[in-house]
Amino acid sequence: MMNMVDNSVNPSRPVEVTEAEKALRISGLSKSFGAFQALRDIELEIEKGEFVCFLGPSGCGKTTLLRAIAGLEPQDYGLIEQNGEDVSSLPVHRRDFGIVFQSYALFPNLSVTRNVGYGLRGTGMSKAQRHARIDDLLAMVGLEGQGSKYPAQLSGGQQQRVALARALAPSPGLLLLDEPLSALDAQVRLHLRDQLRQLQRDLGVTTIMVTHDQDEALAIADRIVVMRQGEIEQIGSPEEVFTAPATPFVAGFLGDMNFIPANVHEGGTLRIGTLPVAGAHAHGFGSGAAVNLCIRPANILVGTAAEGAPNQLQTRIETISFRGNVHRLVVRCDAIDQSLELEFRHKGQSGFELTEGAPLTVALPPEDLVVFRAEG
Amino acid sequence: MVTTVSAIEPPQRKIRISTSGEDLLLRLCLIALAAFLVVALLLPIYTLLSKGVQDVDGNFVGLQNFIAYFNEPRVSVVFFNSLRISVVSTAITLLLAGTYAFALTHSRMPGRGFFRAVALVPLLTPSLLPGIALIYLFGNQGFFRDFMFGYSLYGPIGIVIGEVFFTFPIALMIVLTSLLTIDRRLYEVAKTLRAGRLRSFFTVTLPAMKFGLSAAFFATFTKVFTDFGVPIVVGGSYPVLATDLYQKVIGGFDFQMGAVVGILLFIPAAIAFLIGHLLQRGRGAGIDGSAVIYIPEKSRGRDLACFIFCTAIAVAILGILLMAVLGSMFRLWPYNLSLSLASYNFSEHDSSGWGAYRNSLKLAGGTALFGTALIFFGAYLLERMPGARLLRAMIGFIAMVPLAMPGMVLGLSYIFFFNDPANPLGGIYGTMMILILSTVVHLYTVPHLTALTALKQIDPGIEAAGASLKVSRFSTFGRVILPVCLPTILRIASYLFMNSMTTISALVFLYSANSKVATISVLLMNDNAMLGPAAAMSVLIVATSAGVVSLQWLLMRGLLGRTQAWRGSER
Repeated sequence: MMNMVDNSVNPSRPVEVTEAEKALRISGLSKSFGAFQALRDIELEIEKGEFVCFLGPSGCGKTTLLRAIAGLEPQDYGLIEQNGEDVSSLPVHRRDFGIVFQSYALFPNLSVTRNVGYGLRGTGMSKAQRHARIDDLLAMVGLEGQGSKYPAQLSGGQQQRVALARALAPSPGLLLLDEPLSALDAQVRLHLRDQLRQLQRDLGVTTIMVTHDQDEALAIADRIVVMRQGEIEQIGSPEEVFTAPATPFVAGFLGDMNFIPANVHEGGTLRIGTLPVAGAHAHGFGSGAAVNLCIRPANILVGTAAEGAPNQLQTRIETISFRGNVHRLVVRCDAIDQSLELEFRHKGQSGFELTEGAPLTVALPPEDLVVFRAEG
Repeated sequence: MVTTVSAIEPPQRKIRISTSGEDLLLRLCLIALAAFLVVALLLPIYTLLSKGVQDVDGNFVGLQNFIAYFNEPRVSVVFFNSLRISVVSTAITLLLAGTYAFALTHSRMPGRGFFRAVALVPLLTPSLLPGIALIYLFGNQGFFRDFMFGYSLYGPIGIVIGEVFFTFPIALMIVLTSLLTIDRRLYEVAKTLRAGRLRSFFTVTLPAMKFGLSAAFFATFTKVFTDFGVPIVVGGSYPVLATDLYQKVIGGFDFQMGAVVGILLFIPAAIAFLIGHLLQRGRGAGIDGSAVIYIPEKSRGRDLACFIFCTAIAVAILGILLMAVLGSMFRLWPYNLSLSLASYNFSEHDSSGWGAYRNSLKLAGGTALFGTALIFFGAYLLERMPGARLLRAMIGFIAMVPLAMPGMVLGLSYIFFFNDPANPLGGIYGTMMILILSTVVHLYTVPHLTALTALKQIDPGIEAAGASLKVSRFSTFGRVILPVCLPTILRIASYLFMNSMTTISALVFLYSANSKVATISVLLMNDNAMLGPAAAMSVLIVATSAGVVSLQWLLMRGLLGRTQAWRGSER
């Protein structure tokens, strides 16, 4: 549906960019609303052509950071450099970006064509050039021939694409997306997510998207900036933040996670209660330190897969819930006085009885365990 | 923990966004708006209030004037007359309007749309009109004077009847709104819980009405307490504050006492307004737009009773209007009842002739034009401008003040303020300009709120989206905000025009021979016992108001039809 068009927007350049020429460099950025510190000492660099997601729960400061980058709500302190130029104190209209709001903020009284062309007036383009550009953009977002309609006559997904075309029309160097998919139905959302990703790759425009949906961030981003309470918790590729979370918060926010209290013993070995944990070491913790062992439900082995694996635990099934392709279980392990959540594909699994109260052997593969210092 | 971090942080430069010319211009507009409200509203009020605590020579005497006022029973009786009239009129209005509103929403009687429209007719009339019509009907020579059983119309009875007519639509609208927000499902639940009709009336309908009734009480009370038009025509020798103020200032040039009476008129009105406003605000949050509208079942007895009641009210309203029309056409009432248009030959009755009507059109046109531009753009600045939070909040508050300000008090304070030789703006005194200025200020609040509501409904990202596309805020204002708000702007202009046509309160103190308007002319002709011409001019005012409302309706229909593609099924 979204076709590649000849586009003058930063076609992915060869990567001969000098160190100073980051698309965006943010340093020491803070902002507070009265007594509430919304952003604290943010440091961030974004490469040209990158797709970066700001991810975090509501109130974490991700939208505030985006609005600071846009100049809509300027930061109190700190620098924002775009392509090596300090834009910290420039007003909105002198910065180089396009933005798509969660509500799209389409001009209700203007047709799709005039919405998309809104920023093209007074740019020195002739009327014919403007119309050619608008047609290109509409084709690009798959809205050919819809130019004479008004926003109210379009579906949510179509409106979102008009907003995108409007933001891209003046060929901005930076595209800002403020939860652009969250107002859409689940089906449309998945579809548009992939289209958005494809379009961004084709155009090579540096893009920042704010989202609270970890699946969305994992699926779409080159890098994810996980935020919490006004601070950056971790910056990394989707694989990094998912498999090697830097903090318990990141571990828990990017997907379900079991937290199992454990203790560090001499030589960095770990024990859950009295049960030694094979293959996992906690470096940098003093002997006797309290830690949490984290493992995702899908990484826990069950049944025949658990046989012969290290770190086996004898458990009893407490609850079973059917989730389509997978089963989600809560199991109780009396030996360590813990309940665990686990998830497995029913197909191909055997060697145990799937009823509540039935015994189940599970195993914790050492390579999937992540260790954090226990908080509080 | 925060302290340790900040201790090692190097001192940083606080980021200030460099101001563009556009931001500067917006700031200037905002400051200009603030200055306007200060000069045209706050300073005059201040002057009036300070006059009230001074003696004749301008020395500060504290509350001495007020103590003297209430110590003299022959003087203070006027204040209590006003209170009494207001309470009685308000009670009657609420009873009638409450029942009428119930009939409109909770019955299936025929003609509900018609009854609703008729009830709004008094909004088109100057408050002088009901008094004039009542003289024809129940005055000493009136057609139905026998129904007065020897009591005189002139005095409390006439005032109360006139005020009920005048305030009926105001109370009705408020109560109607509260009844329309009752969720049908509440009645359904009551029914499933086996509540009978009476019980569901007392447990569902009445509690919902209670809020509307109390809000309507304060609105009606304020209106009656400060009204001038009805008592000046049928008050006879029964003085109320508004007429007393008029006599003192215009008749006796007693500005000192005028200031005291003005303040006495202002304070109860302001208190009543404040309570009503707080009530409304506390309630507003509880209503969501998701209520399912109640559709009553058929019930012959109830529908018939409602129909009879509404017919009686509608006949009374239309009767008063029709009486004024007829009165304007009698050759010489009560002696020669043949019909003619002689009363409309104003140059024979009043020195200014048709000039007063032309002045009214000028006033209404000027107010609509200047007022709409000012109020809408002002609301835009308050609602959609970034920054300057404190100043915007202050202006927002000041913009509410006119609603609590009786027009007469505003007019009086304008005398004190603009007629001061030291005031550099004194030049506008006695011109059409001061009439327009006072009317805009007097009517400011309602259209201001209307504009705010409309502007709030526009996506907050519109301007930001425009700015990110390097389009100036002013350009986005013209290309998007104005077209989207055009129906609201029309409504505001029509409101201002209509109310400028019918208002008299502030103007009685401010008009001059050259700027006499139609309502003043009605007042003067009535004073000179020219009832026919007074009725004729009133009818002309009503006709003009009605014309403007119809025009607005037509324009609105055309506009909404033409823009329906993007407005959808709005309104």
